[in-house]
Amino acid sequence: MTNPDLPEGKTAGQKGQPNQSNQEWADQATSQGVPPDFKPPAAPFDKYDMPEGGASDPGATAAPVQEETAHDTNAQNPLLPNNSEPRIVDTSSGKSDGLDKCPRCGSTEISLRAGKGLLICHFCRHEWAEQSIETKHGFDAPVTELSGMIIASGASDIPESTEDVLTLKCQACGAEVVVNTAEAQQSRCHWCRNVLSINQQLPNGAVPDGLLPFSVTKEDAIKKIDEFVKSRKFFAHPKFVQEFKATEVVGVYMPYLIIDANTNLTLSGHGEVQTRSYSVKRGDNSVTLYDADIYQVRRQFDLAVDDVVIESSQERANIDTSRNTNNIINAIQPFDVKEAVSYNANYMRGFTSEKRDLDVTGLVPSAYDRVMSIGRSRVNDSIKAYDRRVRWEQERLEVKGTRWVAVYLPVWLYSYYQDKGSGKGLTHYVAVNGRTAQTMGSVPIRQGRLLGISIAIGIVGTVVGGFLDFFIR
Amino acid sequence: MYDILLQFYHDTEVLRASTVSSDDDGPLFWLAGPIGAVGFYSYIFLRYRNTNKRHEYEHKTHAELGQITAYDQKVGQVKGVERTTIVGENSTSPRLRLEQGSTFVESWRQNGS
Repeated sequence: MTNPDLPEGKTAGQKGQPNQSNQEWADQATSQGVPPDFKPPAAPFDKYDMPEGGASDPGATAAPVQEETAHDTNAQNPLLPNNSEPRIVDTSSGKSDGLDKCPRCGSTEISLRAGKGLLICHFCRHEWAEQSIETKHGFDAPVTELSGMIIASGASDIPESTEDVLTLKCQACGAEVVVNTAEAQQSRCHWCRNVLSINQQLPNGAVPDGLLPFSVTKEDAIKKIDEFVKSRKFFAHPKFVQEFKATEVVGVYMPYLIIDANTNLTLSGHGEVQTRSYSVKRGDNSVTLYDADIYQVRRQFDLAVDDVVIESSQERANIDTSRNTNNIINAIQPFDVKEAVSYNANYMRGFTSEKRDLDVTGLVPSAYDRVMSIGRSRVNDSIKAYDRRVRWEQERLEVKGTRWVAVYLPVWLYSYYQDKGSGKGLTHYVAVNGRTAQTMGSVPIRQGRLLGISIAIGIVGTVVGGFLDFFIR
Repeated sequence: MYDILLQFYHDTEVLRASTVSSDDDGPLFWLAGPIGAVGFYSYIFLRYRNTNKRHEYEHKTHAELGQITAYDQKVGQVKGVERTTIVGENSTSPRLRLEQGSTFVESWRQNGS
């Protein structure tokens, strides 16, 4: 058998300056560009070095020469052999005055109009959107042409010593205003009433390359959460039912990294094709047996993966359903990340946000693992002829190029802490995707009622079944 | 509540059918009791807590495959086995890594190209 069923302000991170605070950095930075002392992340896969001859494939084709197309402020010629270190693409706004103004009238009274996903000036009613991050920085270049590691400056490494609280000097009146970047990206000048924004990329993970604005309104989110919980009230914990108020939902921008990957995947193993099935008698029983042909199977292919989304907050990335309900936030994906726009703090007015605290280096293994899984999933179209399926024994992912972009994604979040006594508890989330309104949640259960009804069903089923057994025999 | 009961009725019907056909000594209808109880508890638990819900990125992430090469060579036969799939089948579990059989290589870092 051969080939069965083949389908057709300022910029980036301050790595290397662990003693320099964000505030010093913010004060000292004078121009755009890549930090001169940026150090790339170390190779994360030393332990996974390919064993000699481990997955050689005589049928493999040579990888074509890849050409770099991203708009890189630190551009190197990709055809020259000096491309073995990550490169940073500057995505900073170029602003550093703390004033994100209306392009028409210059007011700083700006907020998001959630129903439209647009910014609106409260002074002149002008509406506009920031430019798409993909087109602005060339991140829409084909994934198949990616070569090397490209990191947008908003995803730069976070130094160990970072500060959340910054003092901005109001460029309108000269007053100094404190902003806690862990909680907000804006603060109002108490003297001149201008809204000051963090419009420069700080090396503390608080300012991403871009974000997806909320397009689902708070009213719609409340309705969705209400519907979700109301359809689950009968077995819900009575205290939860009593205390539940969907109006307490909060709009949160969650930090994620978006990864594009240009790879080549080689899989090898064995597959079986059934040739015969027949029944034989074993004692009083009849058993079905199968005959099958065994094949050695190998597949090799180029795999270009677009927009893998990974949680870049350590807390959210920890999905352990025995200890938290972070899987709920994970389950409301996907987001339409292609619509992400360049960062502008005004999009976040009235919302909260979580800071990114994971670096690219730490997320590389997870990203490659996901790309491998995607490849394993997609290759199934080419092994349909193996009706007794395939056992893969070797999988080899060759990464030719990746692109990393930090974004905030919008989530309407209702949270409820269930106290389970003796200091133990669990926070339940009901989450609504701020773009698609997809809803998922965790509702505390009234265990006594559920156990009681389950046992009753068990008893009734056993008794009735027992009678049937007795009479039919 | 109606949809829950409907689903539960459907589940028990399936279970009842399987208990009858799997044993020629006679039906074991009484098993519907304990199986039904566990099934009902599990169904309600998952409906409320959704601990089994995840983003299925392996199916929903946009990906393009190109230059596929395939190699399929018959190497043997099996006869008279009861299993309906190959031993160690893992093609339907794409998230499952192969431990020693999984290799990741960053060719751009090694080649500088």
